[in-house]
Amino acid sequence: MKIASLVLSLMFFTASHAFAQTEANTISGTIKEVKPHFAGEHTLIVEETELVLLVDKKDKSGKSLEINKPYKDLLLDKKGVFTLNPKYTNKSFKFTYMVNGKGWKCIETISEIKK
Amino acid sequence: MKKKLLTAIALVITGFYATAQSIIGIDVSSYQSTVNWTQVKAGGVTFAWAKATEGLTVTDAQYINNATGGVAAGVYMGAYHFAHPDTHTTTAQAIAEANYFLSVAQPYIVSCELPPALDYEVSSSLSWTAQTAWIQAWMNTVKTATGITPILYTDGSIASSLGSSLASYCHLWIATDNGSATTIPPSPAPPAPPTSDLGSWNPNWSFNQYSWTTTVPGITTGGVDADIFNGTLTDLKNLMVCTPPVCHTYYASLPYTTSFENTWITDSCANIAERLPDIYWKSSIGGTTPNGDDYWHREDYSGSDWTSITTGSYTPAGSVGNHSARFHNDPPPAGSTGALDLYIDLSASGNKNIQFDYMHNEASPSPFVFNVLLSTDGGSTFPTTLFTISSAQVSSWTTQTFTTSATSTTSVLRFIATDKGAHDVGIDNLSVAKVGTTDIANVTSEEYEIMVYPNPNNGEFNIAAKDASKKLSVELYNNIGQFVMREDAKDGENIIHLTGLSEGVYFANVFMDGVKTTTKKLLVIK
Repeated sequence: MKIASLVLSLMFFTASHAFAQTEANTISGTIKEVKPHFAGEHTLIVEETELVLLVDKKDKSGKSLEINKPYKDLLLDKKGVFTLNPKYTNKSFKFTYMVNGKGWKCIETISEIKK
Repeated sequence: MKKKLLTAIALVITGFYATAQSIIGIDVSSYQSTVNWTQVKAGGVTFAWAKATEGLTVTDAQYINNATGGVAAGVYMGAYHFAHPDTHTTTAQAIAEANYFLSVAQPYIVSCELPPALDYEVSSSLSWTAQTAWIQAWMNTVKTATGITPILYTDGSIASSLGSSLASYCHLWIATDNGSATTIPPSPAPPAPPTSDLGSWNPNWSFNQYSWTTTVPGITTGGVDADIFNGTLTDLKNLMVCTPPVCHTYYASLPYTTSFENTWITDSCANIAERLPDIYWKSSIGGTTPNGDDYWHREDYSGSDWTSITTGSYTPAGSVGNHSARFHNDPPPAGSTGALDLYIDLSASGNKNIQFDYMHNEASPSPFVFNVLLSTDGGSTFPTTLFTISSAQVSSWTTQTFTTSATSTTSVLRFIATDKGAHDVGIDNLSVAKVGTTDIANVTSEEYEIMVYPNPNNGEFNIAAKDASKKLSVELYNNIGQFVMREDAKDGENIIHLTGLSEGVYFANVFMDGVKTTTKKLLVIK
C-alpha cells in the first residue's frame, strides 16, 4: 500500500513537473513601443514587459522577424527600422513566449483579443 | 556540370570537416538554474562562459557553482560581466563595474582557462567614441588586476561602430544567432559571421554565438546560448593564458580593514587558488617546513595546501562574521612557520592603530611563536617586531591592539606564526588606521558633525550632516579599496540614504562642498 502511494505520488510529481516545464508563458496587452534589441532582434514593449521577436532564420536575408502568419504586417520595415503598423495601435494582443538561454522572453505566437 | 558536382562534393566535405572539428561552447547564467557539468562535458561542450556580475550590484546566483563545477568537469571556463553603459555612463563607472566584477570573479580567473569577457549589448546614449573609451576603461582595469586581456562580446551593429583601437586590443566574441542547428555538435555547422558584423576586427573573430536556443545535455531549463570557436583546440589553448598571471604588488590605503569573510583569491605569484584574502596580501612559508604545506588560509579551506585539518578546537570560526585567517601546521612534526603579509601605505603622519582578534589554544608554548613584523622597504627586510604573543594559549577570540609611527609608503605588516600542530592559530577582524579615524558605532564626527546610523546595519543606512548649507556627498569603497558607489544629497538636504549593500565592510569618504571631511567605516551584516 505504501509502495503504491509512493509510486502514485512520484507519478503525480513527475507529471506536474513535466507540465510545469512545458507550460506556455502568456501575457496580454497593447504594444506600447517597438525598438531594436540586440543582434538584429526587436523588442515589443507590451504594457511593462519586454518581449523579443527573434529573427526569422528561414529568411536568408536575415532581415525578417519571426511573426506568425496572420500578423506578418504587425511591423512595418522602413529601411531596416521596424515600427508598429498603425492599424494595430491600441489593439490588445495575447502573446505566448518562451524564455531562452539569455533570459529573453521570446515571442512564439501572437493573437488579437477581440472585444 | 562536372564543375558543379565537384563544388557540391567539396561543400559536403568542408561541411563535414567543419562539424567534426568544431570547438563548441556555451554561455550560461542563473537562467539555466543548476547545471550538470559532467553531462555538459560529455555532451560535447569544450568551453563555457558563466555570468559572474552585472552592473554594480548584481552577482549571478549560479556563478560560483558554474565556475567550480565546470572546471571540475574538465570544461574550459571563463567569467563574463554584463555591462550597463546605459546607467553607468562615465569611464569612472566603467572602472567601478570592472572592480565589482573582479571582487566576485577574480578568485576563479586562473591560468589555462578562458579569458574573462565583457558582455556589451545594452544600448547606450553615449557616442561611439565614449562607448569605446568605456569598454577600454573596463578592460584596462581587469587586465591590470589579472594580467589577462579580456574578450569583448557584442553584436554586429555595435562591433562595426566601435573605435578601431579595440580591435587591436582584444579578441571578438560576436553574437549572430546565425546557426539553424540547435544540437551539439551543430549540424549543419553554423556559417561564419557576416564580415559586415566584424567592424575593425574584420576578417578576425574568435567566437561566434550562433544560437540562443540550443539543447544541451545537463541543462534542463530549455534553450541555451551556443558558441563556436574560430580555430582548433590548439588555437583555443593558445588563446587561453597558460602561464601564471602577472604577479602584482598592491598597497592598501588607510584605513584598511578585513574580517576575512570573502572567498580568498588566487595567489597570482604562485598561481594557487584561495590563498590570499585580497589583492593587498602575499603569502609565504618560512623556517622549517616539514610538509611544505604551511600556508595561511581562510579557516574553512579544503584545498591541497593543507592535507588535513588538525583535530582540536577552532571555534568559533571567526570573531566577526563566519570566517577568519588561520595558520595550520600539518603534523607531524610540529614547528613549521608561515607568513601572511599585508602591503600597506602608512605614509599618513602620526601613529597608526593596528588591531585584530586572535585565538590559539595550544597548551604549551614551545615551539610556538607569533609575531607581527614591520618592513618599510616593500618586504625586503623585516627589522622591526611590532608585536609578539609569547603565551600561546588564548582560548577564545581576544582583541590585540598596538601602534606604529612608521610612515613608509611601501610598508608591509607580516603576521608570522610557528605552530605546534595540535591547535591552529587564527586572526580576525583586522583594522589598520590612523589613530582616531575609524570606529564602528553609531558615530558622530565632532569635527565635521557627520552622523552614520544605524551601524552595523543590514545594507540600509543613513549618512547625515548637521550643516545643511554645504553639499553632502559620499563615495563608498569596499574592504579591498574598490569603488562601489557615489551618492549626492539632493539640493538643500543634509542626508543620504543608501540601500542594497551586500554583506561586508565598507568605507565611506564623506565630502562637504566637494572637500573630503572624514572617512567612516560601515559594517553590513545580513
